Amino acid sequence: MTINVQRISIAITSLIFALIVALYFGGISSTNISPFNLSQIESVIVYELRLPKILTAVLVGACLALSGHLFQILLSNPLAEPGLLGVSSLSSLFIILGAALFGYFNIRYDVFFLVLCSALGAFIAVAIIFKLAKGLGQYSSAALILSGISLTTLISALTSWLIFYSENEQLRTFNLWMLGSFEHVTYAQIIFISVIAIVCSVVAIYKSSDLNLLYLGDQNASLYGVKVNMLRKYMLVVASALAACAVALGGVIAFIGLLVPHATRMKFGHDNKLILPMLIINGATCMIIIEWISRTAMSLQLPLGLVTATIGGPFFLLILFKHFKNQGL
Amino acid sequence: MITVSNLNYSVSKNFKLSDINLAINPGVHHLLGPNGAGKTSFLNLISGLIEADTGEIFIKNVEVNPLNLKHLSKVRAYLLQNQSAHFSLTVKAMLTITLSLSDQDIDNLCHNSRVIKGLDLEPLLDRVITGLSGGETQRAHLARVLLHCEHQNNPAECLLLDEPFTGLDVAHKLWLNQFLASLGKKIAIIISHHELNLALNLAQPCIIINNGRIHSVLKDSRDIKITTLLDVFKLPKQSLVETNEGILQIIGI
Repeated sequence: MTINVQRISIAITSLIFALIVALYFGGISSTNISPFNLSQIESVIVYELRLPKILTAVLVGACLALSGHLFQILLSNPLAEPGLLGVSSLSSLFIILGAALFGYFNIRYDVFFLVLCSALGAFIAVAIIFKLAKGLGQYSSAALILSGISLTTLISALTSWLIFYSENEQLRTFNLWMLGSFEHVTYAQIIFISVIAIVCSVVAIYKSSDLNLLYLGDQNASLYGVKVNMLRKYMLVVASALAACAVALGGVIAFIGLLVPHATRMKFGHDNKLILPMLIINGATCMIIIEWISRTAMSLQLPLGLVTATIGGPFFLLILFKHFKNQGL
Repeated sequence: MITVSNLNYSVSKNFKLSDINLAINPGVHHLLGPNGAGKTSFLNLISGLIEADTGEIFIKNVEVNPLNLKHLSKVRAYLLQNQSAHFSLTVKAMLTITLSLSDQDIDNLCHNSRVIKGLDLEPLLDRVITGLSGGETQRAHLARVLLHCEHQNNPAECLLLDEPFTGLDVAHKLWLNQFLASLGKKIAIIISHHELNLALNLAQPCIIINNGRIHSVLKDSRDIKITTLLDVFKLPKQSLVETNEGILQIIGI
């Protein structure tokens, strides 16, 4: 118990520390700002340039971490993650298509429609994965991941065609949604999406004891009184909605949904009552740091997807070997 | 305690459980039958895991049906034949999750429970289930189910075990039999297994099932007839011997 209290306080301290660093320190290529006596320019930099990005990072990190963890439990697959399953990429493709459609009819593409397109993409992706996995037989671990991979491949082919036939200005939007960026995010978007994210998190936390029983497999969970099919359906909607929120804010950012849940479970055990809040904190911390690195490591802004993939790739291999060594999936 | 009336269930096109009527009182009941006789389907039906086509099942006045799942989970405990685990849960975490007790109560239980002692689980409590050997995994899951029957707030009143002896070493098998015998004084227990010699040894009730039908129900398993062993279990005659005490035994298994 005391160990947990200690770890929780470390997690919270790191979140606060990361927040302060990201707000005021410029790293290698940007200027440091002292938190005291902000000049007018400095307060514009901190509150209008940096703070929205940092708040976005908090939201995106929390959403992706929760979503990844939920997918892993619901699909009983430690490798499940919105990025790898193709949920994020279909979601971002729908956002791009939505933008094209709204542009064509000259309608303002505001947050509501952005999230709607994104969520639609995410739900359709999950539905397709399940259909494919069912066709492959028994929703097994391998079937689900392979369906996810085939979906991702299809979507990337589609996207490549779109890019092939698009103009410069459109290319810029593609890049933004496909590689992940927090440049364009407004306070209105942050507020709207945070409401959805909070509702989803509350639902997930409310169901945490049922989610705990899913660790023991469907049959055992159902013996302990969990309505497994219903729980899985609702929670898949929650997990996809969370992934959609993250995509609507920052585009496709892979591996956070894999990295944070695994690291969190390693340190805090498996009890969802504790894990879910910790995922929110750790996801936020992790994303703030990544956003800070992408902003400050080089003189030009690095795409977020590049940073996460660089860190996430080796981590993915690590998990692969830890969970599936000699098991042949 | 458990009453089954007019139970019918189609497992597949060619195989169904039919016309099962049973009344089971407290005590250890052996559910015997060859592979594919319908033992697991029968236990799944009683536990409420699957729904019967027709017929009724009651466990202590609680009707077994999908609407009662939550209530049922309090009155019966069921050890599945195969356990699936994908996550690196520790044994202790599994017990905490399934028994829904506070950390303090769990610690207390882990140090004082006769189930944990009898199954020698103390050294395994902090180990990850997916990293345990087959027998150790079985012991961990057995403990989870048996502790449910000894739960301080709402002990299960009916215990179903599907092949609980799989993977257990001899000492733990012996302990389990003695424990079940004492537990059977209070609650109804049904154990499906293939240890015929064990059943022939113990004077406990047994249910013999074959081709989806109840073949016979005996008050004392020592009354299993030679013809039953030959017909239902397809044993060759020369494998059966009678000991000096007059107990039938199967040699070579």
